[in-house]
Amino acid sequence: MTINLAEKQKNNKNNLERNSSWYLKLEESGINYINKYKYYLILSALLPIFLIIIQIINSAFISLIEKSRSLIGFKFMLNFEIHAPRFKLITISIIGLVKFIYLFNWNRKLIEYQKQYKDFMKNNKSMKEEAFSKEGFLLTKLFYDIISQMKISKGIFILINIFCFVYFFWNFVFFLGCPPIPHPLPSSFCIIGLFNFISTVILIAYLIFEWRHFYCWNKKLKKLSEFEKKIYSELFQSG
Amino acid sequence: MGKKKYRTANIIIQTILEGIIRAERNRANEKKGIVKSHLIDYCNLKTSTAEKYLSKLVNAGYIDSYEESWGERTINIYRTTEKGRERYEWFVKINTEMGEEI
Repeated sequence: MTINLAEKQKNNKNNLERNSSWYLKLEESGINYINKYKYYLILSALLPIFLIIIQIINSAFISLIEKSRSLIGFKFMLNFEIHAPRFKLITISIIGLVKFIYLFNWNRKLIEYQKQYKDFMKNNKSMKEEAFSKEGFLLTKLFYDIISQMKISKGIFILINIFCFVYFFWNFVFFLGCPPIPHPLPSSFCIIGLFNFISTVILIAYLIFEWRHFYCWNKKLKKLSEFEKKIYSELFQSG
Repeated sequence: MGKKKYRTANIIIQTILEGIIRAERNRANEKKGIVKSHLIDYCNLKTSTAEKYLSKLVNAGYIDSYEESWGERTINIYRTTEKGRERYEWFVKINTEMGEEI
């Protein structure tokens, strides 16, 4: 009788360890994934800030040469050349703001989830019964949050692409194609030109990174859709 | 439209599975699971929706249920099966694979 009880306790302990370690492994991989996504979001939010800085410098520079138009006597400037940086500045600011709001909202949820996870790790043994009588922060919800955010990010990324191409075109026309300032070019024009060239290179690298990311994302999303279809058919279409 | 239908159903299915698995992770006794009312609150589901999905999950062999007397009342307790745990594991793996691409 005593041996049976001891064996039962040992089995229970083994079950507890098996259940905990299996789920903890999954939860840890989930947390790692969510943290990676957080870095991705931070990077995505940094880009509009970087673009805004470039556009502020460009706008300030254009305003300056616009004011001194008669002094240096540069040739006729197209409306596109004057207004493109301002137009881009407004649009990119809006895009940046939308991204920032998303990042902020999602980060709040993540902090809450990590708090719950840490509490569990601290107690390590059990989540009290009362913890289950209120809504829990679940990995599933965070995963689907990421999926819905990526959908919006894709739309935003298309906009970023359009504005990047407008910027590339402006950059080419204004600095490389036919500069509106007579030769010899003032040094400030060359510095701003070089600055825009560097930012073009950074933007191209960013676009390549994002295109690659969305390509992989779409592939994985296809896998998830197939999985969802399978689960649905197992539940709703069997018998 | 079809894809949306699968997604909506899957959010509920995986939420229920995760809720049960999380409750089970600290339960030593194989018989233990989670009380239906607790699961509904924890997963923040409507009772009618949860009941519909719980019966579907039981029929598909993802979870099973048993009754236990609790004072004068009888309560329904749910626990996952091997199949249910496997499906949840697939779901987490597909999602975390996406992280490797980031």
